[in-house]
Amino acid sequence: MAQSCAVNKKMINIRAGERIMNLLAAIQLILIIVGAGFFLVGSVGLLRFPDVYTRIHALTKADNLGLGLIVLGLLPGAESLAAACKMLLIWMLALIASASSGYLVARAARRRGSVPWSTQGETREK
Amino acid sequence: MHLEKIPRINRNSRHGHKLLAVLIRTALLVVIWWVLTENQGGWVFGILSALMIACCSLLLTPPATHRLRVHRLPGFFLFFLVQSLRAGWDVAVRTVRPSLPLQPAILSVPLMLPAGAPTWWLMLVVSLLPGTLSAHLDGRTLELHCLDEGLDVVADVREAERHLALLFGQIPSSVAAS
Amino acid sequence: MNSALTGIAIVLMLSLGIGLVRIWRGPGFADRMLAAQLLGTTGIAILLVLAAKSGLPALRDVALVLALLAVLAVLAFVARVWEPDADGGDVDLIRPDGSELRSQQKDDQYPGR
Repeated sequence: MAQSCAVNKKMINIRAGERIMNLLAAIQLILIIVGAGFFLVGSVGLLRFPDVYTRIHALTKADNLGLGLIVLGLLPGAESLAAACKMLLIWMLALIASASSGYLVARAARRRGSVPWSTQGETREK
Repeated sequence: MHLEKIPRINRNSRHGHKLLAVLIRTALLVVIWWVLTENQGGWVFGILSALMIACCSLLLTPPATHRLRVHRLPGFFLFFLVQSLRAGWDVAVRTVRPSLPLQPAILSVPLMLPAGAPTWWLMLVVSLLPGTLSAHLDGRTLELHCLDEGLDVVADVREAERHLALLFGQIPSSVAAS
Repeated sequence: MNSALTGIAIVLMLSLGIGLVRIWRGPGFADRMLAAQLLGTTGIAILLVLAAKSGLPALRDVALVLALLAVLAVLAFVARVWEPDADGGDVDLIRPDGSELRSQQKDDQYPGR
């Protein structure tokens, strides 16, 4: 009797563990799907936005968030702590890269005299 | 430059200061080595190259110019994450709407942070705030391109400045007050 | 999870394809460069997803290299192609301690090429 009770408890523990694992997998999946969605939105923004400056906005913000969410979703699946840290490192690198290159392209555009697009409709691209 | 910022320090303790900086930087680089190799070894090469790079970085960037307050990093990351989420959401909503609600403008914001590393960080962070993009640094004035004139961009920049001032352990009264 | 990751990789490929349209249509150098940067970031995401899906950790190293290359490409583009010597006398380099390195004053005009 006691034995079966213990077995029962173990089963319940396993089931609870399974449920937590399922929940974790669901959260991971949601993070990754939302992340991919931001990538899609970033690309659409790159197509729809009217000038260089606004396109940089679409690119840096949406893509970095997308990559961050995908990395977060993939983290629990990493084989080792070092592998997880490597993914975070890649994300940080991508963050710094796109923020600084966004600034460099915007500054270069300013220096070349590209006038930002505005709702009044005057667009001038050198 | 750094010598003027830490006055009345005798020669020995200044060397101690440098030694500590080399050790901290080497340790950070060794951690990066561990990440890159995924703990597969090659420690001799890793530690040696980390030591050499740390010495080189010390020659180029002396210690105690703008030191990070490590205990403030988690708070800063949290601020950064929340702002990135807001920024991504903002851009996504603008992209998806058929009417494409954009009202771009160039704004000039006078900076209150000290020049150098804190300003670099600010310019990077600003590009990831909702609706703003660093476009040009003219002396102590940052030119921003913003997606929508209607957004309260200046308040966001001031908030980022406040967080960075805390991170670098400098609380200029002007930044703290705003 | 595995098939879901395949789906995600396909969605990311789609987003990459949309970015290619911007490279095709241009119109400017900078627009194409931005789209190339998008390809870099999306490529990183695809590689990370594939590394998790197929159990090939080495793909992560490829993603790391891609992250490094993307920034080098933009740097080279800005420094050499788009504004070869368009320094209007403002600060070229601020050292980490805040001191400034100024280049000589030059005409702000971009030389035609």
